[in-house]
Amino acid sequence: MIRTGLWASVVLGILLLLQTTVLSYFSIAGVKPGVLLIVFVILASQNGGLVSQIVGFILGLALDMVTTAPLGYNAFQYALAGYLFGLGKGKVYYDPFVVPALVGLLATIYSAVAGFALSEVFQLGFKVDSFFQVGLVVQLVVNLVASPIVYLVFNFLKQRFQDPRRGFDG
Amino acid sequence: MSKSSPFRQLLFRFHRGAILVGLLVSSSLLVLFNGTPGVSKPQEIGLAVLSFFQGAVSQTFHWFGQSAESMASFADLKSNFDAVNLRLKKYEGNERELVLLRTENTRLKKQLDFHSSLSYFNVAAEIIGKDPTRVYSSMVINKGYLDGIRLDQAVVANQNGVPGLVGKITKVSLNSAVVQPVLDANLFVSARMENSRNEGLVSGKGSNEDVLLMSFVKKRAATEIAQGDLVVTSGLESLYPAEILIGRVRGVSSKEYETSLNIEVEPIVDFSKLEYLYVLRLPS
Repeated sequence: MIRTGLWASVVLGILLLLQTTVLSYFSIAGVKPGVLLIVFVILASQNGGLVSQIVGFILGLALDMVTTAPLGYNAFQYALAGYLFGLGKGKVYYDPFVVPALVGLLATIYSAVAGFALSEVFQLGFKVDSFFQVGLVVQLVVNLVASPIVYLVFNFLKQRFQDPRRGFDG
Repeated sequence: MSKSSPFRQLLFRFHRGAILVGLLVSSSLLVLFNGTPGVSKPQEIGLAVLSFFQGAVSQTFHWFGQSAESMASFADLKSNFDAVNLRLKKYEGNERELVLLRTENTRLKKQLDFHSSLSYFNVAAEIIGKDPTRVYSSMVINKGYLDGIRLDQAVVANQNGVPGLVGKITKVSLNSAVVQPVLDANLFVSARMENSRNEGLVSGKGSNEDVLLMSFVKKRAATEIAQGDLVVTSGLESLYPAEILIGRVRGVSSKEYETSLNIEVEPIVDFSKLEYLYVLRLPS
């Protein structure tokens, strides 16, 4: 479990750096594909909730540190997402396109809803428009399209780097 | 006790739920106490650490991006360089051609000036062939009978602004003619010294030597003739008009038993550099 968590943390840490640097240049109608979120939920659904909620919390904290979000905001979201999507472990079987796309779609909706809920609960001052507007539709479409691609790349890398005896997650 | 016992399952669920609750409560507390020194300080440290890696990643990709751009620019530069190089070579070719044309133009202008300055009606002609076996022998010009060229007409040339005798026409076809140069041993030109007015007969030595021989000059004229004196056509009973330059005296010699001098004359015309000739059409 520790090995799984470390592996996931390393992968997501690298993705965090990429998401906040290089991937910032790739945007469609001002919306950037949520590669970090997509990979996180895919990992969560494969690794289970216990590891994923801890990894999500750490990842969220790191994300909070490098963004203007209040510390704990993303940590809450990702920890909860890790738990929720971790419930799918052993129940979700990935095909190349449909399931990754659906997972990406669900993750995007979850992110908007959770963000809005947190904003309302903690009175962070965001308006509803910040979460539910045309941008969300674009984000949904972008992530819907990006998810199978991300899954394909992720799966390819996983097969390349995983230990044949012990598996990628130990 | 098996792993699937209700107690262990309950414990496992509680354990996971407790961790989740702990994480969510921690997150909530962090959000609630956001901005306070206790929260903002770790955030600042975390930001400092993460931003270091962000900077490294960003700079790495920036470097790769710049390298890719540089390579693309280099490829563009190379193609531009090749294109410019090609154009430059073309221009160099043009320039060479221009220089050649200018030179030819200057030369032709000089010839045209000479052509106009001649007091006799003349036909300008270009040498189109030379006897390959004898360097200073016959030359073929591109003008013939149809251009008014006839046998025995005098041929002159202009080199460096100095007009000089070349020879005479010995063969004529419709469009070309053959010139026999004064270097030929069989061609005799009635000549005289320009200063002393002593007369003689100039001919070639029958060899490839660039020298003429003036003979039949009386011995007593030896004191009047000096090296460098000009020799011109006399115009007496000759095919050649008077006062056309033939050459300069190079040396004078005589034998005791002879009554005339042997004068070596250096031709005014450099036969190896001839390009254009003028055939003089004298009034009959």
